[in-house]
Amino acid sequence: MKSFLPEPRKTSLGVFLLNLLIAGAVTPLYAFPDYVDFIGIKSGRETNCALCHINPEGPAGLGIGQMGRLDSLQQNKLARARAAMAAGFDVESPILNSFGNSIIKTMGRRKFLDLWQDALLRKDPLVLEQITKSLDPKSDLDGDGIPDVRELLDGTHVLSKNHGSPGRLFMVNAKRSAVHLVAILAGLGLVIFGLRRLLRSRSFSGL
Amino acid sequence: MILSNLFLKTRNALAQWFPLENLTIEHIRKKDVPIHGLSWGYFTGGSVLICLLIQIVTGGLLLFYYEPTVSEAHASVEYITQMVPGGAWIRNLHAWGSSAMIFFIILHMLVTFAMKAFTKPREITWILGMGLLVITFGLGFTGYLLPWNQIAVNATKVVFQSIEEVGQYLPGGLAELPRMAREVIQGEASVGQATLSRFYAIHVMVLPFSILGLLGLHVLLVQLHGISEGVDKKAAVRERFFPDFVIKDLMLWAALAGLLFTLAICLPFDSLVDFPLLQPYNPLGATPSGIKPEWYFFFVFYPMEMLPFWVIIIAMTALMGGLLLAPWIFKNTSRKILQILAAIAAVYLAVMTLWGGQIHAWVSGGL
Repeated sequence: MKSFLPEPRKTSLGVFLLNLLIAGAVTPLYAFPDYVDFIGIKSGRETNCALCHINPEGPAGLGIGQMGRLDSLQQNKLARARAAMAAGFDVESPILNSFGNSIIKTMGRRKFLDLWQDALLRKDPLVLEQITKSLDPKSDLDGDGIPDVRELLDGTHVLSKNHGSPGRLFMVNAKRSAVHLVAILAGLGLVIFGLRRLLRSRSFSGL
Repeated sequence: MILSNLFLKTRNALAQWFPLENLTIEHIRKKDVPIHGLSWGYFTGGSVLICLLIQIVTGGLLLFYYEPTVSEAHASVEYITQMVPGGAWIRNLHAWGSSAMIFFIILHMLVTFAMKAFTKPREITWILGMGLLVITFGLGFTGYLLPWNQIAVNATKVVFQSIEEVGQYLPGGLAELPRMAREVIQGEASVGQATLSRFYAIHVMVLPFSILGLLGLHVLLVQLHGISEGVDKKAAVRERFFPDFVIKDLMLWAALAGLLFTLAICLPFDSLVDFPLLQPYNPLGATPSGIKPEWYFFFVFYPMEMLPFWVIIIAMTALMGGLLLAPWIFKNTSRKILQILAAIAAVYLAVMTLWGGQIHAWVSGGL
């Protein structure tokens, strides 16, 4: 399988450690295409930054939910979100959607970055699967009946209740709407039953 | 003398095509349906009709909230899906209904072809059927743009581009026709508000009224001519059209409605598409990968990706011409041959629709 990670460069231990330090200190918490690539590999579906960001094009730019459009209040919120190194802080990053914010709240920014760097260093995309073990397995932000973690691995939209793995969504909706389905199918079944009786009726055929 | 002959010939032809003397209650009561190996095909026409009824009702309801402007179209569709009570169900039913309608109209065409039901005096019925097929595809194409999302707009752009490319294969002044057609339908330099307005008008007014007009005439002619025999020897077993066949048709309608209702409740149509393609169209953003038309255009879309464009133009022209003129081209062809041709077409359509993507990837990888 073709690796999605860049080719390793030969560096001295000192330069390597320095790079690691700089990466940990200054890498901004946005635009991690490696995560998008990982989800694509896992699910076989096309995805984009809208998995976690407000703007599908990512956080860089002047559009809605992008860095160039943030007012001072939003910039403060962004700074607070970036300071959430440990798990458990309420994060309201203006560049992340509610799923992105929930990831940082559940994992903390430090763990998120460590995981990403670990994947880069090991050249192993499956390392990123660790993110699913860090998230709440029962969380279902869009209420579609499929946990966020499952949706992430399926490459479907975590915040749209009309988007999910077709098979899973079918089963969930069938269970949820069982009463409606039974009523509809029973009604139509009775119509068919009545029509069959009508067809077999000798008196009607004699018309 | 010549004029008199021409008048007589025309009158005779019209009398054969439109036997209005059969427009009586007595004729309807006497009308029967042959029962043989292909008689299941008689129900495909009714299946198209129930789908059309569902489309009219659900489409009418969607009009209450849909806003045909580039700034509001996507948001209004999202509003219907997320906020309007029952909106997601109605929208899903409309989407599944359109696919079902196209599936059944193609099946109806293939079965009618295999039965050789287009022969004299049913030529006009067949041609009207072809018109209905084209209009149905037109409804699918125009409706695809209305949600104004990435896949809708970009796929429409690809189609417009293909239309314009046809021009380079046409001689002289005809070469300008595709470009002019594109400009008229598109309405402006690129796909934008004018295009959306035109597609909206075509989708909710022009094509529905056209389909109702043609369908009325099509059904009237079926009524006047009766049901085609469909086999070489007159079927020994027959059933009365009314009430027997009509009741069976209604039973099938109920079963189909049940299937579509279930799908609309349990499986949102959007879940079949990758979510980046469902996001609002961004004219300044990059075109996302995976842009393709709806499944019912795969039979021409994937060959277009794999073969030179001129091959597709020749094939499509031959196909459309052949189908339109089938009553005359296949006048003396046996039903056996027609059934083989229909079966080949069905297999081709199924393979391209289900595995066209894999075939394309395999061919691209192998080159």
